[in-house]
Amino acid sequence: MTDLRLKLEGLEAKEGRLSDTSDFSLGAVRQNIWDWDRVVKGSHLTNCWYQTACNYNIYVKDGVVLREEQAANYPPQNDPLAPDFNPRGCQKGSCYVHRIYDPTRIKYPMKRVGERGQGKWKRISWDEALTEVADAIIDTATKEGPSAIVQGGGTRVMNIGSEGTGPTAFFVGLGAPLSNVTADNGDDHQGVAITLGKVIVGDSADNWFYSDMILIWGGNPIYTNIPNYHFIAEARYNGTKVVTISPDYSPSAVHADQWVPLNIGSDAALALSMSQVIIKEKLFKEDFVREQTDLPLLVVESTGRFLREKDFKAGGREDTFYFWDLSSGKLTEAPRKSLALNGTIPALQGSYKVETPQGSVTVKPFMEILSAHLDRNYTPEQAGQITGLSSRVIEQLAREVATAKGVVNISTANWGKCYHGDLIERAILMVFALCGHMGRKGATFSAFPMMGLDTSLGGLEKRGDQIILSAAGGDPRFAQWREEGFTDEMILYEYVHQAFSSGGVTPTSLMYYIHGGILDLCAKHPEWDPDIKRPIKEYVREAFDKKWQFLSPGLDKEPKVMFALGGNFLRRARCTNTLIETFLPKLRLLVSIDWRWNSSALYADLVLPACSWYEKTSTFLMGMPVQPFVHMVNQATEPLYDSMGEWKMFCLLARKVEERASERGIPSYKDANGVEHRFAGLEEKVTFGGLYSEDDEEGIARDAFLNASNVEQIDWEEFKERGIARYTGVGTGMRSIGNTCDIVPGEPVVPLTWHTERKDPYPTLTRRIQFLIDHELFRELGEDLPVHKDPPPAGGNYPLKLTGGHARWSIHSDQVDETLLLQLQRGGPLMFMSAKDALSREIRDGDTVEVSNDVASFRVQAAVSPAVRPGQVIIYHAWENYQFEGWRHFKSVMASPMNPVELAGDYFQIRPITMSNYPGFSDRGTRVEVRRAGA
Amino acid sequence: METYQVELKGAEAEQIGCRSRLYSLLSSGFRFPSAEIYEGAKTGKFAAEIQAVITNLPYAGLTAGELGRATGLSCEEFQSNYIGLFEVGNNDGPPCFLYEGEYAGGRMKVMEEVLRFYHHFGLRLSTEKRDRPDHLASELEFMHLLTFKEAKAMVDGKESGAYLKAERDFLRFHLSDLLMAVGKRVGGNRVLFYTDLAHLAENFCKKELAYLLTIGKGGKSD
Repeated sequence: MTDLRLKLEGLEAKEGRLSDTSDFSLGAVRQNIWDWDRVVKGSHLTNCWYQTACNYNIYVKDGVVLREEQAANYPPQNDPLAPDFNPRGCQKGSCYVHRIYDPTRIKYPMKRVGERGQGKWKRISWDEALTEVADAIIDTATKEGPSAIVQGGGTRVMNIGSEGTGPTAFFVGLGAPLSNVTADNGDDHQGVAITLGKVIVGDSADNWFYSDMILIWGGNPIYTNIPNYHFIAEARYNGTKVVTISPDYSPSAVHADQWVPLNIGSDAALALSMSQVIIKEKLFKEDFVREQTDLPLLVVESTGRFLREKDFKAGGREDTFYFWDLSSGKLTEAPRKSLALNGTIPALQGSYKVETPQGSVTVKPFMEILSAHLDRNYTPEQAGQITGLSSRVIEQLAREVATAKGVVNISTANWGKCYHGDLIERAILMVFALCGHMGRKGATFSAFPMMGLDTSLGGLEKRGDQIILSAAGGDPRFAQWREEGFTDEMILYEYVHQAFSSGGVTPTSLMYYIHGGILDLCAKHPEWDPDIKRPIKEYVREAFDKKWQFLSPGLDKEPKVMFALGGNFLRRARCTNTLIETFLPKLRLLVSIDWRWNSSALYADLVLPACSWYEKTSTFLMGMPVQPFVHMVNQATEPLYDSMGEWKMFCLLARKVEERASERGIPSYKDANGVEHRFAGLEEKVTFGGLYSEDDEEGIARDAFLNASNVEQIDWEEFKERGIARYTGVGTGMRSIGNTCDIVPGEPVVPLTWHTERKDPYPTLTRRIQFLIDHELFRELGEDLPVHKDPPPAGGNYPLKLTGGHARWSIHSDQVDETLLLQLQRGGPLMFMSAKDALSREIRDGDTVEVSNDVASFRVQAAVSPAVRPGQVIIYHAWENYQFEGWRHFKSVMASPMNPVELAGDYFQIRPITMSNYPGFSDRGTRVEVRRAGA
Repeated sequence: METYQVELKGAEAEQIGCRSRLYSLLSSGFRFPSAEIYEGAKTGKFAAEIQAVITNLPYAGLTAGELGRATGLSCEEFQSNYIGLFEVGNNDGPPCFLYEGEYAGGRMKVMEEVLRFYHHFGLRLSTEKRDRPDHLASELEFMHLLTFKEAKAMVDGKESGAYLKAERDFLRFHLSDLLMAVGKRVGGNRVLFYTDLAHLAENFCKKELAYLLTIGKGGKSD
């Protein structure tokens, strides 16, 4: 006779003790209707950008989240005929519960025991992991300084509550740089930044309903705007014409009224030619052009530069400009504090003589010069040669756009991924400005859509992106800025410029160029940009010498500790293999923090398990005007395994750094400026003086919401219950203010009305929408005037151009290996190519092909499609390294040559700022050859 | 949590007890290997324990095999192999996941049904482990509980039909297929302990199902 003991480890009695069960029926077990333990509102803390975010009901039973569904509780719009925002959601969000329980969840802290990327791991405790990280931080801070402690870059660090606040507060407390990842993503809008002085400009999706024409130009909203796409369809049923301009017969072209199939990278030529037609046929809106743009400003004919006050007198201002007033017949100083013309009528044509100390000079309104430039180079016939379009199509499009009452654009984040994307954006903006399709309901230009709570959380307000105007309260420069006519927007941008120039924020793309070997690669291949005048490294050196660009750690140092969090840099960056070979060996420690084993985690030294988005409480700092609501994420269940929220993780890490520094007798370290920092007190800094404990991530989310001025005033519990609250203004946060408009709940968000209606100046050197950039580097490169340049043969002289776009089936790589979604595709990486190119290479649909260029090669399945333009191949982004044979990642071929014009600085609006004005990665049009594998 | 124990009286109860012990041993074998499990495998103690219960099962044809006896691997290597085999992919491809939902019927559907089984018998997932409900070790542990309750009901003179029906249906609709899938995936790898363990578990569950169908106490499946 023996005893049998019950040993439970993974299961436990529900009520504390086991009871007997006398019945069992499989049918009943399967079919019983369950009552849910909890149903909470939640969303997905990923950066799906235009789609961010959607309100969901999350259903929980016995501690397990079993399903989610769209909440569809968005209020109706004020106009009863306008579509509302219900229901928001997409197939990625609707299977997030599936992702939570994906077996690729990171379960425990892991330490690499083999070579990087070899796949050999050891489970360690949180204490061991934090000790290793703390020691590496202490070693690096004392040896190389805190600037050598960097982030790999990721947009999820912008959420409040868990994922963002902890790491950001930790880096700020440590004196280490925050990262800016926008141009690394290729999401930058350099052309908009140059022209408007800002990148954050976006309308709401219901605004599309009021337009006469939607120009889908540089985007594919049927993939990337799934919760918003119904607005396009409804607008179309309401009579709006939808035009898609794209090289391929894109999924969004399929549903358009007109498809304009232009050659890859020829968009600037099309826009410039449309401008030529609009000006020549006098279809432009004179009043708008005179008041809002630099086209009336006088340009010295002999130099091609704006006429400035300093041209008249010694010590004159560099930023005072002039126009010729037709009403008085006099040279008149352009107002700087307002766009209002106060009865003056700036000339747009003609030639005038102006007396200067150096003698008489001939000046012309920029419009006159621009018009001649366009007539010389961009007639529809000339542009037809570049774009492959008929001149009649260009003329027809130009006339329709110009005569429409209102046109809106949908460009998403494409142009930053083009080598000459800045030129394309400048040219497209010109079309919108000439036609006055800006700052009116149903007539808007959008670039980087963003809307955020203008909340301030302790030390965050003066670093990185979360900079609010209250930071200016004690700043002695404030009065001077106001005297200079600086708007709130300009003042906020000054703080961001300062964050870059002080090393407080560092652009990750520049870090990878300089420290990751990509610049060396570009330098070896000057033939990739035949227009370049000097060696690329000379431009880089000049940019740093002249303090146009800033990097932390600088050129003479190397990053030593890197946190890959809030993003997946080895999936995201270009030249993946180059980074693996060059960047990773420089790191003393690579720590990956995520909820899933992504490419970056697989190459890390330490991997820390973050909990999933349904396992923590957070709110979105980053929202979108596309849907003007702030969303709530309630914790639905306890974190799985040994995972924890990033807030707690970084509180504990701060504590551990203090402990270890004390144990090791290392009290302090010095930063790059020689300023001494003490390790003691780091936890106090991270927790805002102990205001929030490591278990109080909800407190941060709550206070961020309640302290914001630009959101519906409801109490926290109501917000948690509803899951959404309406934005009521752009607020005073750097991430919103570029929209420069009032927000009326229930009405469309129409950006730029503070300029068009209130006459606030633009944050540019000329205080106007600026098309002439008379910066020395732009002049050297022949880009002072808006021009078209052919995309360079990046990657070598190969016949096919690789393009891409955001995928339909995944938000970045979050769902890229999701089994449910892979079943709806072909189950793995795919490259689309034209039937013509496939035929000439004897490639059949489904074949595995080898794609190669000067930089690298990879294998992928070919999808032969008549929708693809001959000469083009398309891979929609975000496949992970490990999804390719031999882990040869498709981004390895993306040579991403540095465009020297992006190094420019010290020109009012052209200074590094969050999201733009520093060199970014490009990949569209990478040259490759494709052959059947094994052929 | 209370400790549950039953004094097994009689040969039939002993046999049920051995079935229950084997489920428990297999469950612990498929969890992340602690130093204790590693030592047990290396010294042969784990194989011996299994062999001891196998000899008293109501059917023949199973053998414990080596189960890691005299392995030359260090504990760290043994654990790293577990991670490489079951948790984290590497250059050789994805691992052999130990979750039923990865192989059949859809992850959420499987998880929900398994959870419903647990729920019916007053169980929930350990708040300490916080793992998925359909992990192989938890499913084996559930069978350990059902057989424990079966044994206890017999000793207490109570009706055990509910447990037998649940054992049969859980094996038929969940555990057997999972073990077959794991057996296929793990077999190609060179981590002998787990190849042996998966093979043994698969055969054991096959015999269990056949046995349960034969004794027919559970009545018709519905």
